Order: sequence, then C-alpha cells, then structure tokens
Amino acid sequence: MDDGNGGPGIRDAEGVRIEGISLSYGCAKILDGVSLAIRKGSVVTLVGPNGCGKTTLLKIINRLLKPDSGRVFVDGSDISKMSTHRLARIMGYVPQGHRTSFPFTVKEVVITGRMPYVPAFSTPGKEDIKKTEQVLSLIRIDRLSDHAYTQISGGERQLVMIARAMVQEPSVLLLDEPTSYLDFRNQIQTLKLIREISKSRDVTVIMTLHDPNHAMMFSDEVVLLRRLNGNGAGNVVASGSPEDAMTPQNIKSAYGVEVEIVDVKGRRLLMPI
Amino acid sequence: MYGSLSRWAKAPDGLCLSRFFWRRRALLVLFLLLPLPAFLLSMNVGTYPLSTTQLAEIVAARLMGHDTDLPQVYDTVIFNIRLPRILLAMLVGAALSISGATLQGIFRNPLVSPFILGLSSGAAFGAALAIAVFPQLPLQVGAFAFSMLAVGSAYLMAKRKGEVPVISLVLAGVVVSSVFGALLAIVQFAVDERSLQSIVYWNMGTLSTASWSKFYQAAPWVLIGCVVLLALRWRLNVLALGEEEARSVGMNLELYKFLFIVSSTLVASAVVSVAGIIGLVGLIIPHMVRMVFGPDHRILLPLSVTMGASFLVLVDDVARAAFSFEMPVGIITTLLGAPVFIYLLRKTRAGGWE
Ligand SMILES: Nc1ncnc2c1ncn2[C@@H]1O[C@H](COP(=O)(O)OP(=O)(O)OP(=O)(O)O)[C@@H](O)[C@H]1O
Ligand SMILES: [Mg+2]
Repeated sequence: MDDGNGGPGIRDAEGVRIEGISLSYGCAKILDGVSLAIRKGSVVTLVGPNGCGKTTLLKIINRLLKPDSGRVFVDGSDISKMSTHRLARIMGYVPQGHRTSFPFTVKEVVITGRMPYVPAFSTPGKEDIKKTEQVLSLIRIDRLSDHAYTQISGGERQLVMIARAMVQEPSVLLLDEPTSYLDFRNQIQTLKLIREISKSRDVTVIMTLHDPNHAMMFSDEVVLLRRLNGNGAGNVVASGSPEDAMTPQNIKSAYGVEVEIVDVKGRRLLMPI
Repeated sequence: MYGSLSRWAKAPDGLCLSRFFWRRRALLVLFLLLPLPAFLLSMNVGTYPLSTTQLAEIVAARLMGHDTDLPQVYDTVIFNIRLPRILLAMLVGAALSISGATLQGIFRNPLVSPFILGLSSGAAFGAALAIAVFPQLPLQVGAFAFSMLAVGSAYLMAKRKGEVPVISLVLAGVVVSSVFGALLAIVQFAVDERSLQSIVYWNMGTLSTASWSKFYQAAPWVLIGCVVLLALRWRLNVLALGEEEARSVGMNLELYKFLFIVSSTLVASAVVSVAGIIGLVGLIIPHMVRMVFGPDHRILLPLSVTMGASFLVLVDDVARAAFSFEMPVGIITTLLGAPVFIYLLRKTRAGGWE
C-alpha cells in the first residue's frame, strides 16, 4: 500500500501518527494543528473538558470525519489513501453512545464487526461465529448473547460495542469513553481488560476518559487537551507519561480547576482542592 | 420496544433454550413452506364451480399430456384465469414485503413502507398519463417509468456532497409524493369521466385484471431485485445499526444504500405497475415476521418473501370469492392493515426515528 509522500521518518514509524490536524464546525474552530505520535501497542488516553474535541479527534483518526487539514498515519500509511475495507481491518471504533431501533440480539450486533472479512454477497460463516463467541466470553458477556440489544443496560451495551470492535481484530482500537456507563467494578475490569488486550495482542489503544485518576492508572501515556480560547494556544496542554502530563499546573490550564497530588501507598492520586 | 413475543424463542436457561430452539426451527420451516398450501388452497377458490378432483384431473392431464373428457373451459379457467392470478398475487405480495423490509432496515424505522420515496404517487401519475393523455403508451410502462423516476428524483434531491442522509431522503420523498399527487390531480381534472374512472380504479390496486403477460412483465424485475437483496441481506443488519457504526466497520455506506434503494424500488415498481397500489402489505408483513423471529435480516428477508406471497394470495382469495362482486384487493389489505398499523404505532413508540 502507498504510504503517502511523507519523509523517511514517517515511513519507519510504527503506531499512529497524527500531523497538524485542524477542524472547524462552521466557523467554530475546534482543533488547531494537533500533532501526536503514538507508539504501537501502547495505551494512550485523551483527557480534557467537555467539548474540547476528543470525540472529534477520534472520529478523524477513524476517518469518520475529514479534517480541514492534517494527516493521520497508521504504521506509516496515510489513512486517507486506504480503502474502507483495509481501514476497517486495522482500526476499530467504539462510539460514545449508541442506540438502535431494532431489537437485534447481542450476538447479531457483535458479529457485524466481522463486516470487513465477510465477502459482499455472503453472510458470516463458522469462523466468524466462532470468533464472535470467543470475544463475547473474553469480555464476559456471553450470558447476554441472545438478549435483545435494546433491552440491556447502558453499561452492557457499551461492553457489546467493545466486543464488536474486538471481532474486527484491529491493530488500533479507538474507544470513546468506554467506561461512562459502567459500574465501579466494571470500570476497573474493563480498563484492565483493555490494557491486557493491548499488551497481549500488541494493539494500540487510543481512548478518552473523564476520570483523570483512571487515565493515570491505566495508560502508558496521557494527552491532556483543552478547548481553543482564541489566544493562539493549541489544543494539547501536555502529552507524555501520566506523571509528566497530569501535573496540577497542566490540569489547571486545561480545566481551570485547582488540584493537588496525594501519594497513597506509592500511587499518585489527583484530588480537587 | 417489541412485544415479549419477539424474544420468546430465547429463554435464558439451557433446558428451555433447546426446546424453544426446536420450536423456532419448526416455525421457520413452516413459514418458509407456507406458500405451498396457500397456493393449493387458492387453486380451489373461485367463482367458477370446479371440484378438487376435477382440478386434479385437469392438472394431471396437462402434466401428462393426455386428454380428458372434461370441458375445455375448465382448462381455461385453471390455466388462463386462476393460475396467472394466483402467481401474480404471490409475486406482488412477495415483492412489496421484501421491498418494505429492506427500506425499514435502511431507514432504521419499522413504520416505513415501500412507498416512502414517492413510488406510488409516481406510478399513479404515470398510469394516469398512459390512460388519459398518451393512449399509445402501455399503462404498465408508464407506471413503471414514473415510479422509478419519482424515487430517483427523491434520491437525487436528498443527495449532497456524495452523501444521502436518511432524514433528507424522507423529506424528499414527501415532496416528490406531493408533486406527483398534484400532477395527478391536474390530469384527473382535465380528462373525461371514463378515463377518470379507470384512473381511480387503477389506484385502488387490483389483481382482477391479472394475466400471464402481466406476470411475465413483472417477474424478471422482481427476480433480479430479490436476488440482489437476498444476497446482500446481512449487510442490512450492519446498516440498520446506524450509519456511523456501519462506516466504522468498513461498509461503503452510500454504495450499499444505493444498491438497496435501487433493488427495492425495482421490485416494488414492477409489481405496482401491473397491480396498482396495494397498500400496507409492505408494512405489516415484515413486522409480523419481526415479531416472531426478531429483526435479523438474514431471516427477515426470505420470510418476508414467503409470508408476503402467502398473505396476498389468501387475501385475494377473499377478494375473489367472498363478495358477490369483485372487491379490489388493495381496499381489503388497507382495511386489514390499518388496525395492525395503529397497533404497531402504539406498541413501538412511533418507531423511534433517530
Ligand atoms: N456535528 C457537529 N456540528 C457542530 N458542532 C459540533 C458537532 N459535533 C461536535 N461539535 C462541537 O465541537 C466541539 C467538540 O465536540 P466533541 O464531541 O469532540 O467534544 P468532546 O471533547 O468529545 O466532549 P465530551 O467530553 O463532552 O464528549 C463541541 O463544542 C461541540 O459542540
Ligand atoms: Mg466526546
């Protein structure tokens, strides 16, 4: 596949590389020249206030939105030059919220993730069904397989959509607030699972989370974003290891909230003052 | 949002599950084979008195190629009156149902009918033109061409920057329907009484003018459309989950929407052009199937075909035999369908537009 006309540095780069992404909705500029380099197999969390453009950025990475300028590379290839098919085999996306009007069963929903592997005039085969069942039990929602998707809880739906992205067997997984509807236990379990998947299968995970402590605990790197305020400062407040990115000063400039860091048995926690 | 019926086949505990599984399988086979008994029953129904044994004798004679001493008129009744009418009824029922099921999937709304994009208004106008203005234009051709034209213009109207948002499609369909409705009114206003009568009668939807030639005119289009729709039916599941969700698993959304709209329009236009506007079949049949088997289009589409075929042929039996005069079948389906529609409307919270 063509890898665009980027320089030799880009050619070698593994993982996801975002270069100078800008986007406006109408005349409201949301993202301004965002650049990030994300190592293959790492778990990267985008944090920032409501409306700062996290969802927008994830959609651009998955080509659901076209940026006004800038490019996204996965393992050195420009995604704007890939076929839809190829893109779907390397990237999975879990939207922030999802609803449907038809009561498909959980199994029927999850198996649609096999779309890029099922030939056009065909329906999913044994292999697809097997992979679907494996993922359902990996995420521990196999007991829900025959339930109607419209009749399970919001948190369960979220797990179903994660499963759907997993059967796509992507090497990059984009998750938009994967824990927003989950209970206390499921939040931790799901984040652990996401890490496990990332590490065991060398999957690059880019997700958004609202809890800065979760971001610190479960990410290799954190990208702290802010809303554009028109004074020329970009969206990225800080990016890097959780310790380096999530300092009280950075949090203050992203959210305008005072926090302090407390040490609990060697763990750093952010507490609002 | 659907009654508990839709999931009754999926009891949670294992023991029940296998029993329900087999019951579901049995029902599935039953629904798939239903056109057969419906066909046999319908062959026995009609105003011309003919016993089942006579029927069997004539059919056997025809199949074996030997002669019978029964009057020739029996043969005519069976092979030139009943058989084309029954086959046409089945074709129309199947076509309207699969078209409805498909469009409901694309629009993610169970209350959508095959006529949502202006197909019926276009057909009615085309038919009126052929009846009153251009008598040299065959009626079926006029109706077929204008129904395709109506849907095509709704599609193009809704298209912006290479995308066809579902909500724009619905609005474009409304506009196109009104425009063709107005054009039809002009024709109706201008023509003489006899033509007006034919136009009104055509609009009611009837199978009483069924013939082999009508069947052969519609069947190839229906066949082509159905083959495409059935082959792509799983893709409808992917599409029905939402456009963004479909795109994120690599579906070429606009291509598939286009294919589904073209095929379902082809199928429905072909039968509307020979049978007129038969209402609500395309709405209620997919719904009934969904209530029993759930929304999976892998099952929904084939069953819509068989159920639609059986339903319309049976309703047409009523139209043929229950009254002292021929009742247009479109009137019966609409009267039968309306209460079902209202029931569904209340039951499904207005279908949940996105
Ligand atoms: N389709 C759209 N049209 C116009 N403006 C939009 C659209 N989608 C998002 N926006 C605006 O763009 C900004 C960024 O939205 P985005 O959804 O990316 O935020 P976010 O960081 O994901 O927020 P949250 O934490 O609430 O999910 C918001 O101010 C939002 O109002
Ligand atoms: Mg968001």
